[in-house]
Amino acid sequence: MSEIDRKLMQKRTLSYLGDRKQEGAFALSEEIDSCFEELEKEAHFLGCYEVYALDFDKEGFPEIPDAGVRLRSEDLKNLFASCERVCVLATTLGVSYDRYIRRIMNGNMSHGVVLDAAASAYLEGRTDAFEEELGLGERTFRFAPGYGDLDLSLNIPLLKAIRADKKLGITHTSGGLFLPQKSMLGLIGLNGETAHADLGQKTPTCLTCARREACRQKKSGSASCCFPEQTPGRV
Amino acid sequence: MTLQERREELKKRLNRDLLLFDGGMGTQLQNAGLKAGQIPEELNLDAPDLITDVHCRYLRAGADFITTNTFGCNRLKMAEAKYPVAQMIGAAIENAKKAQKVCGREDDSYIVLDIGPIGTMLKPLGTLPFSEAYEIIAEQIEAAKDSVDAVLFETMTDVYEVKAAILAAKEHSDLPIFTTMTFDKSKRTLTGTNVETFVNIVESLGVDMLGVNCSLGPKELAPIIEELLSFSHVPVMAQPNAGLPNFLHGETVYELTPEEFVTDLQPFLNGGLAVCGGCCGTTPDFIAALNGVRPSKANPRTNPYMPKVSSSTQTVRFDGHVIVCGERLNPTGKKKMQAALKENHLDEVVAEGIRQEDAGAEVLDVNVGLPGIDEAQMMQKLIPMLQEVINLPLQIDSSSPEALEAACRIYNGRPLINSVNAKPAMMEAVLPIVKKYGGIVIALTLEEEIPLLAQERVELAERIIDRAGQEGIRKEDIVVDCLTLTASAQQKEVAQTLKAVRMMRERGHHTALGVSNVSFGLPYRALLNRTFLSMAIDAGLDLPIMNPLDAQMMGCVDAANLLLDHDHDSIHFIEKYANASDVLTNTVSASGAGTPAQNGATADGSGGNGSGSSDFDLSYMIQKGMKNEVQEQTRKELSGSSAMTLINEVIIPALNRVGKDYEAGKIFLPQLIQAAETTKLAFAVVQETFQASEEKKGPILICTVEGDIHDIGKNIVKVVLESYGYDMIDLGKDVKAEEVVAAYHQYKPKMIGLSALMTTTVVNMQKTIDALHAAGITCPVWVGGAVLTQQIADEIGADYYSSDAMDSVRLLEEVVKA
Repeated sequence: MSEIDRKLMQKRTLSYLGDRKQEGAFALSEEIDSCFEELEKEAHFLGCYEVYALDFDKEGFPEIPDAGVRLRSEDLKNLFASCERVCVLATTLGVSYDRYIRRIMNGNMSHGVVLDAAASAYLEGRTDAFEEELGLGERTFRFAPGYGDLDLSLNIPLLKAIRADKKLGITHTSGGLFLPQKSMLGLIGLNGETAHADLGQKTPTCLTCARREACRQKKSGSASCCFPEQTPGRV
Repeated sequence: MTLQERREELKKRLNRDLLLFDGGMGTQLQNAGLKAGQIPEELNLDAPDLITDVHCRYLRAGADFITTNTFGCNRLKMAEAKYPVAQMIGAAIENAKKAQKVCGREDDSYIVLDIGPIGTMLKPLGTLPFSEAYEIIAEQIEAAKDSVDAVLFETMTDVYEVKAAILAAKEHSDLPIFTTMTFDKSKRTLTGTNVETFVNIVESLGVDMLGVNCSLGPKELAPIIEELLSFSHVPVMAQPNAGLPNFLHGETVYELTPEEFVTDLQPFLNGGLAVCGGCCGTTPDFIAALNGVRPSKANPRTNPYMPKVSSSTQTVRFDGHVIVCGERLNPTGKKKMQAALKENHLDEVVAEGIRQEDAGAEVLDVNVGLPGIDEAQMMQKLIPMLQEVINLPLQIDSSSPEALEAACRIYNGRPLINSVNAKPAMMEAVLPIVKKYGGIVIALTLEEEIPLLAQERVELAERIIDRAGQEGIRKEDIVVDCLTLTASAQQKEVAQTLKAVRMMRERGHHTALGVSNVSFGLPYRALLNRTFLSMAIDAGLDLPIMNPLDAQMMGCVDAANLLLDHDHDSIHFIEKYANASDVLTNTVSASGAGTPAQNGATADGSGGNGSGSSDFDLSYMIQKGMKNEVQEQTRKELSGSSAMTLINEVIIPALNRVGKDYEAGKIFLPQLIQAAETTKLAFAVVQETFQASEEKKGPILICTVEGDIHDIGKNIVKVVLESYGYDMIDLGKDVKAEEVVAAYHQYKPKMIGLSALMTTTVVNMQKTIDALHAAGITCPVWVGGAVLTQQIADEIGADYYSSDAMDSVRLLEEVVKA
């Protein structure tokens, strides 16, 4: 992890702890750093991906025929409008992290809460790095089921399509929750000639988020919480 | 030849002839046009000729085994299939039989029922109960047991699932059992099981062949195959992929040619493998290439046997070093442990286990024998909780064979079993359990009473070892407890115990002793215990059952392991004691070892240790989360005021200030929790001075609902409410509606809290509320969780909603007081 990545992960961790204005940065920065050290040791980061051709139905909603998945989402309709292919990517911190966080929560819950937030930031950071290594070229930002109006239940067929169970050990409960718990799945549109155009206005915001009513961060006045550092079209 | 005779003949051929499995089925079906989203197992009925043709091609290439097209054919994965599981399995077997016939290989090839992973994770890390995993696999076995030659469990990444599978096969059939798991480059499965642990567990459960499949190509798998061959005492098989996958022009392509594949495997064909085949990316060409070079005979290795116990991730060898077994998970004589078991505060029991692991124990004894407790039930509840966070193998300790069996069944790993003795009825009841679950058992050298002389104890040990042999238990798997007698009552017999240990060691047996029994009724017990421990180690003791929190005794074990050359190059000793002073403190801190951040951090990030407790008052310490100092300060302040005054005028106002700061955004969640945990420690001191039940508020029932395994939010609410003096009964996560109803009847709570993180599990919250209402329970229910809102709470029939932990405090103060 470079120093910049670490700073970004620190920022994200504080944000997940509810401290969007980063007022606790001084008091917690040492502890957050020690969490990253623990995660380097205890978590078992793995990632896998597949690239598929994208198709669009009559109404313009994207679909991935080779994965047998239809993406009925206005957000993705906009985001992927000019894309030809899609990268489906999954990453996880593995069950070793699940065991570790439970152990910490049993003995030292306050540290466990910081660790949990740090682990989310760490997973994102490692996923960003994993994604960059793939050299995907022209692309949209990463979008995940559960963001905006994209149905969470799509996780199940997408996981199956890229065989994340076999490759990474990611499975799900009957309700679609990931196991191991710190796992994520994302979709990245590729190869569109105008993949960068107009995304600023089409970036999903809290207004379309499924959690908009309950989100503490939105209540605190933040414009966008799920994508704090995602820059549209970041290459 | 009958099926039974074929199976016996097959077992004889393993390790005698070098045999070949087939290669990938999925790859073949995709090449034949299997579409994304199509269910391969349906093809057994929809395209039987296609499946038969794949089998034929493998048989013609030289495969001795063909695996049925049933990899995912279980009721979970086949929920959306158009045919029932049994029908698809039956058709798959028919296709394989037809292929044998077409190729004229009915007599010299075998059909293996293929069973892959169930597709979801078992409890406690997932939501699938062990018993249900067992049933799912039993269903598959039942559908095939009379028409295949063997069963293969493959590609599984969780050894717990493998255990369920082996038990299902053993209890529902007499099929030969082959088991292969997938490992990554770290030589562990995705759930953290290493090769030695895998071998130890499945071999003890009685599989006929074990090995590795999928994962990687033969070159990358070489170190794993090598370890399998060096640890295993049963035939070993390998089915690598055709190298590593590359993604080219939108397709997954495997890198190896059949010739390269064979070249990489060649050393193992002559070096110990009994069976070889292929997995992803391999085709009939790969099997033909293997057939071209295979020696006709296998060249099995002979590995010496060493008893080992395992959790799912760690294995402890009985290799002569002193193995500390932590004794503290036992309610006998421990009031706190008794209360924790009776009041269902099992997290406190788990915390005691973690402390012992941190202190250096290698195995933990678990005993829940207490009047009024159903031992078998409690074992089944507690063991998964312990194994969720503790990596050590467990020693299952009970005098009840029913409890031993229940615990061995649910245990993830190869257990130590404590214990059997020389009573015929006891041997008859316990030894079959040891055999069935592959345990290592402690044999107590007593019949009706403990013999006084060493020679008599040795004779009893040998009687148990002989009897165990009749059950098929190896003598190495018996650890003899020569029984420590109390020096205050039977001073002369202490030497007899040591003599018996020496005699057993001379006969090549491993030994255990409950060390601290020696000092009952005498002063300065610590000195007697560690002296006796040193003497016993010198006599040959392997497994002292002792208190690992006693730093002096642990020091004694560490020194002995160094002096007896088990701690090679003194690495462990130097690491642990490089900065130790000559005088060790008697016990390690009750909070155990942790990271600096865990122990030193305070709510304001100041570190908290600098000035000593006397500089700060209790109120300040609570607000700043000074956990290390708070108990001493509480005692100090209690000497000047009554308990109730301290609670009402110091503790609660301090907590309220913390809560206000949290809500105002001046401090954040970690600081709030730190303050709450600090308060809990202060409360523990205050409660020593009065009857807890008179002053505690509640009880309050809390849990995360069925299907949801995210419990951090629930745990936060619990600890904050506890800091306000509520008696919290925590039912845990993934809790079924009927369990909540039953817990209501057991505890009669004042309120019930339900938590759910995801929209998908809110339905189970409603189900729980409906079940409570249907049972006529009017106890108020409050709900919370990331996606919950007042509106959702109203819709699902909850009485109250709270947005976070402090909101819950406010709510309960109102509702419970009212």
